[in-house]
This record gives sequence, C-alpha cells and structure tokens, in this order.
Amino acid sequence: MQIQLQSSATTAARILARGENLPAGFTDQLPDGAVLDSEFTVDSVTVNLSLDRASPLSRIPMDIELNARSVANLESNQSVFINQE
Amino acid sequence: MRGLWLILRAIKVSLSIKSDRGSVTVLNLALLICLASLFVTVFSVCDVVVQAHKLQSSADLAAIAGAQLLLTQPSEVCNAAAALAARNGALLQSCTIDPSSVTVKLKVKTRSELISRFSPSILQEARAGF
Repeated sequence: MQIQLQSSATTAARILARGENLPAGFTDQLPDGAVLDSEFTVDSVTVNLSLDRASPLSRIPMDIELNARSVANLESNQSVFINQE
Repeated sequence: MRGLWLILRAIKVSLSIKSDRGSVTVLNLALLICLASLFVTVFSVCDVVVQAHKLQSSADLAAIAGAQLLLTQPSEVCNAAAALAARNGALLQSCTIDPSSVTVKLKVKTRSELISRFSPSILQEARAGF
C-alpha cells in the first residue's frame, strides 16, 4: 500500500511538472480514502498523498496513517526520457 | 554421615533435573522469542523495500531535473539533481554527464537497525536525457 502511494505520488508529480492536468481516472486508481494534495512553487511541484487506514487486527483499535511525498522540478517543453538502470 | 547426605542431595538434584515441571513455560518463551524475531525481521525487510522504492522514484525525478539543464546549463546539471534529491530526502552519491544524458546515483541511510548492520545505506540509480 505504501509503495502504491509512493508510485502514485511520483507519477502525479511528474505529470503536474510537465504542465499537464491529472487524467480523469487517476484518482480512481488511488486506494479508497486517499487524499491528494499538490503545491506549486516557482520551479517545482510537491505532491502529498495521505491515507488513513484502520488496523488490520480488529482487536487492536489503532489507525494507521500512510504518507507519500514527491517533489519534481517543473519541466520545460524539451522532451526528456527516463531510463532506469 | 556427611557422605550419605551428599549422595541424597545428588539424587534429589538429579530427580529435579529430570522433572518436566516448567518446561512448557520455557517452550512458550522460546516460541514467543521466535515469533517476535520473525515479526521484526519481516517488518525490517518490508521497510527497506519501501525505502528502496521511494529512493528509486527520487532518483528518477533527480535525473529528469538534471537532464532538463543538459543543453542550456550543463555546469548546473549535477547541482540541480542534488538539490532535488535533497528535497526528496536523498543524497546524491554520484552524477555522470554524457553529451545527451545524465546518470545519477542516490543514497539514503537504512532506517532499520537490523538491516543497517548488513547494509548501512541503500543506493539507486537512474538515467535521463534526450
């Protein structure tokens, strides 16, 4: 779940950094209850994704809060490829 | 007389060792320790996997940030990558610039005390360019 949140936050940051809007179905792919928050500065965009989940153990009444944060520099019109190694 | 007393005491000690009384408690304790160790190990490994995944995302974004300056400000490529890596909670370990791409390697300290004994830091690499 944390990995999914982090991937989504990074993807959202990359999309917003390119100057595009998030696709309509993007938030549908997020886990239920996830809250997406984006903040622009002069040269970057910060995406925060948070999610409150109940404990998987019903006898332990403890809420778990998951957070993912990703910062991306705003991109110009030049095309950039990314290739992980 | 003292010799007989020592023999009786030895028998008593011997009998008490052979007794099973309390062995279940010891087994339960051992089982509990095993379960706790397993839980800590699984938790630590999961934490490292999450950290590595986050670091890979940071490396991707740092490489992109550097690649954007390849044509206009080549001298600032690594600085831009390092700055964005720091904002994502990572440290730039190395930065290699080619004419058309930049390769960055990012590092973070392993959070888990258990795993950090074997691997004190996590490294991830990414390349971006034109």
